[in-house]
Amino acid sequence: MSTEGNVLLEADGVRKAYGPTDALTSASLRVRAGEVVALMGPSGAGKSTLLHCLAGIVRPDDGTIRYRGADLALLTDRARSALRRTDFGFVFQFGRLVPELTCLENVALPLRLNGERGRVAARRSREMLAELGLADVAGKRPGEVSGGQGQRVAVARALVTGPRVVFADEPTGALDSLNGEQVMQLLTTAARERDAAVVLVTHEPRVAAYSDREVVVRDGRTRELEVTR
Amino acid sequence: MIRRWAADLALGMRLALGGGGARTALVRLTLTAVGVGLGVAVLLTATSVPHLLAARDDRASARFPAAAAAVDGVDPVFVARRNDEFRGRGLQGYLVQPTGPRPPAVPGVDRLPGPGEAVLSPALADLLRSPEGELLRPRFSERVVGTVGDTGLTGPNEFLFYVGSTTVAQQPDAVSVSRFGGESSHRPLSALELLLVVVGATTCLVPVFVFVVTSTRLAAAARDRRLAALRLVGADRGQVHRIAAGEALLGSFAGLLAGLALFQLIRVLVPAITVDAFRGGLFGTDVVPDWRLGVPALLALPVLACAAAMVALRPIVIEPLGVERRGTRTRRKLAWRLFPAVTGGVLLLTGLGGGGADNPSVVVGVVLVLAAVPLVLPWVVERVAGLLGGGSPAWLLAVRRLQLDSATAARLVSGVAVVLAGSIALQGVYARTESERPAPRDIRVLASYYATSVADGEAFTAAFHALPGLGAVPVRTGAMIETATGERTSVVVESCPRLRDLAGIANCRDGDVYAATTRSSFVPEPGDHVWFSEVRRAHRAGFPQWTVPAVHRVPVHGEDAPELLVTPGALATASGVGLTVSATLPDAGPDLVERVRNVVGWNGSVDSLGTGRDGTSALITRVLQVGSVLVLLFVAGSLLVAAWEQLRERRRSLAALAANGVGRGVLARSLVWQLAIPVAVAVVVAVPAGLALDWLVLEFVVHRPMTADVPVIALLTATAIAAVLFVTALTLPALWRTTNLENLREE
Repeated sequence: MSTEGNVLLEADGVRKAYGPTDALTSASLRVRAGEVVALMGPSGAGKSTLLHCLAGIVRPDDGTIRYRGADLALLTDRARSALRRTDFGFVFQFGRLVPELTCLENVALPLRLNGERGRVAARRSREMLAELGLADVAGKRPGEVSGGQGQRVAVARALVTGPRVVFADEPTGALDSLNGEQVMQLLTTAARERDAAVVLVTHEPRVAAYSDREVVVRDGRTRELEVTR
Repeated sequence: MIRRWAADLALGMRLALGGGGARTALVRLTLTAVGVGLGVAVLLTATSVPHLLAARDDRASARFPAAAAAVDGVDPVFVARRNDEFRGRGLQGYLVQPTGPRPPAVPGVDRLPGPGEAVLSPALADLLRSPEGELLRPRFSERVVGTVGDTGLTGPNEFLFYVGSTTVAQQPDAVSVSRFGGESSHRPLSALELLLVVVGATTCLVPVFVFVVTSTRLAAAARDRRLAALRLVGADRGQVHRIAAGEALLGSFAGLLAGLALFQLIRVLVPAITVDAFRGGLFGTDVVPDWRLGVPALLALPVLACAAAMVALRPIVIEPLGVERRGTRTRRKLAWRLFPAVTGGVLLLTGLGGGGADNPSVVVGVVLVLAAVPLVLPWVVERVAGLLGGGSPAWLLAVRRLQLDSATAARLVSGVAVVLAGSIALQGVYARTESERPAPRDIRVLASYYATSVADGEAFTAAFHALPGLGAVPVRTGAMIETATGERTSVVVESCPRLRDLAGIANCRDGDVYAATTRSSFVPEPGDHVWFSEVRRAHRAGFPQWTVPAVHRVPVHGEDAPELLVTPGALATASGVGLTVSATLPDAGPDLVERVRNVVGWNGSVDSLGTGRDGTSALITRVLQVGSVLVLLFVAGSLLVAAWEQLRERRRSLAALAANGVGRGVLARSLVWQLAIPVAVAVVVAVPAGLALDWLVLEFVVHRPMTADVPVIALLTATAIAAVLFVTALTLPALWRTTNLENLREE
């Protein structure tokens, strides 16, 4: 496990079970600022559970997860929600955009939830969409754009608050290869430009190839792969 | 913090608005708004009833001739009230005879009519101008010199008249008036009327309440996904609740506006209501809610909608990855669901024993029993679904679906159940009171003419007999006479041939007076001075008396035989005569009755005996019947939309079933069973509940035995079932679209 650099997120001996099933038995991981880490492994290995634990969405049964030195388990729901609004961004398999809102409103959502004024939030979101080449879908609803465009809007939403970490769970899982490539290109490039770390869950080597590091999760345990990019 | 909260609520409202691409959100918003709107309109209308009735009473009393002391600067006017009918519709009016140029002011009348003049209400003037009013015109031969304004009418369609005459002072019921406007006497609703209002309003409102609650839970899965997405991007739990409240708030606010608009529409349409009791119509301006009741009514539905949305979130935790249930799903508990029904039943039984329907515990009991139906129904449906086993694939799919989630279906049909139970109760009470009215052929029409002389009476008799079909109808002329000391006796004035027939007087001569020896009441002695009771007491001093001639004693038999039998010649020397000429009409059709009325004119009355109906009860029942039908339609409409939304939410699983070879017919039958099973349970719960209420009300309030009107109950039940089946049929095209394999695509 690499230890150099500014460590943002640190998981140590994380264990999580769902009923009688162990999802994670002992997972450890460090994520440094600005790096792209791919969590690889077969289905059911615990990749997504680890990502959810790292993001503070799921509370581990054992072990610790620290974000910039703070134990996530000790944070209140409100504090963890605030983290998701300010420091974390999310891109999931099906985008998880709100169908009732336009793409622009979806991108502005974390800003609005964080108390940003509507006009400011809209301006910043518009700029983000333009930067990612999505200006023309701003007024459309998620149901009116293609899956690839929807995922790119999700990337814009994840980045609009200037997060330190972007969590991406199978971001290309529902896309064809061309759209998948475009989304990955966009996500990793934009994140690197902003010095945001990306924790990426995938089982596709082609997607993992966009990462700086690959961590394999198997039977609930983590193992770092040495890869050369 | 306030800005933050406001922003969260605003975001919720924005989500509720959805837009063109988010049909579900708009549908839910519309349904909530419609439900809240209907409820608000019903409640505002119901709370307007006291003011409406009071305003009618005020309007009626404002034109009431007050027999008060003289008023300076006002010349009294003689007024005689006349109540008449034209083809079943009431005509009211006053014969007036001003005594000077400064008569008292009458509401809505610029100038009181003089002799040969009339002032009519607009509706009466319209009727007289129309072909329909041809038969009425002979009664209004006077020159119309004005129109009664709204302030002088109890309703816009009222038939009211003021007819000027020179003979009002001599009318038996005339009063000298220096001022119009009496004490307003507000009649409260009778116990039965109050109960009808309560049963009806509850029947209409409970389904609306149920629907508002249901509408906030429509597309719950989509809402949960939406809220989870908000959690993912950083909304905390408090924010999620505020956002959900904002969503409900918009629907409530829209419903509030819709309800106010609907209420305004009702006020506009109110004048068009024409039921027997209020044929004169109602002024929209009189439909004013009592704001002590109206404000809570305005807030009740929106608050309910928001509360329902919040309660729906209570058993779940919205997390960024989705929704988790708090604890394990447990079976429904019966105890608290039965509590209102049992409490209502106990209140009814104890309340009914101690006073009847005006006892508040009876009213509360009725409300509780009806409100308990939608509470008990989900429990029964769940238990019944749990007992059902496998069968055909369609049946199996339906039963398993209900076992998984019967709440939605039970909620949807509970509105139908309440309407059914309430309608059965209402129909029973109404049918019972209706059945005790005489059949039309048994109704007697009694024509009475007040004659001021024997010749006048004979002229009326001749005119009466000249009418087609009435030539042989017996006419009886009579009077009451009284002495200066107030002793009274009845008199019949007949010719000798008639007296021979009537009393068996063989050697009768015109000018004779006979007294019945078989009666023990007062008989004046020859030489006594008597007055005719029909002549106003105030005028007697100016009239010569009748001096009773020699009285022959004869035996006259019969319960209603008069004390004194007088031949016309015996009254030859009398003036100030007041006789009543009366006849009972054969059942010869309404036109003949109108012709008799024309002959009687304003010097008498033509009354239908035995038709006295409780008009307010009829009005209430009619309004509630219409309300029940509208609510049933509304419930059917909401069932349809809810069924569509259910299909939409389950489109993937239905498409997967279709992809696996399950035929559309199987899916359609499964859909039918999914609604048919809860509906069957609803009918089984609603019919006994309705019959029980019917029995309680009839037995203890109306004090009449209950007879189950099986055809009507069957009709109501069939209507409810048909509504559900019709809705199911309408959802089939949506089912065909849902089973399209395209729905399996994720991208």
